[in-house]
Amino acid sequence: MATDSQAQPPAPTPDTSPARIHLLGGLPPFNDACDFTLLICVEAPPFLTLQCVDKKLAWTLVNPFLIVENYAPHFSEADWQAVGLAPQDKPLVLAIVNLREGVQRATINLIGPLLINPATGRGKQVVIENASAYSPRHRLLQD
Amino acid sequence: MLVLTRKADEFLLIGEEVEVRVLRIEGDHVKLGIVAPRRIGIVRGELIEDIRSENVSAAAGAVHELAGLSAKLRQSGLKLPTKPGTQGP
Repeated sequence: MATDSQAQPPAPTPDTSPARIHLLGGLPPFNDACDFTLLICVEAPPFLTLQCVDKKLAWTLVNPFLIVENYAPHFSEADWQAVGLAPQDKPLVLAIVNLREGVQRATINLIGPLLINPATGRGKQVVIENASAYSPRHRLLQD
Repeated sequence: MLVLTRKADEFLLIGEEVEVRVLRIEGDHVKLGIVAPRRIGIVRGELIEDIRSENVSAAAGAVHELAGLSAKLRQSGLKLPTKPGTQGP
């Protein structure tokens, strides 16, 4: 199932608490890290911070459609249903940013994005069906 | 781990719903056919390994450098949506 369009990140609630995300199966191998807050990095758009609520773990996320022209991930029906999306729903898709080697060598994982139901915050890190078309370490900047 | 030897055209049944068949053996490649309900995901193992190692490597790295990365992305021509949360395509 290809994604035609993208939902917006869950908006903070009126009392400005951040959006809550529940990831089925966590982020392997951190399979117990399932509950997160999702915050926009106001000083560093378009990045977001995914902060685990009960463990000292956090990841930086970004909307991959902003970074990669024509990014067209194919999601399996199983994954789509697992997060409670109906066939016509618009998902929220976010990619994990890897800054381990610094800014110039920053990459994003295009084969294992987070597929999130924006209405419920229920999500899952999935393996896209067309993984051979993309890299788990897509460079953000040219050398 | 259960270890079995199969020849071409032989198959395995896993549970009641998954069938794995050896279709062809060519040199060091084995072509496998898998029949399973759609709700059961089938993924090449090396992709799972890639994702796991990326998750570990990306955990809580260098968040203080994000502002610098954001600036460089915009310099390189990245168009940010004018309204926060408007995302395409």
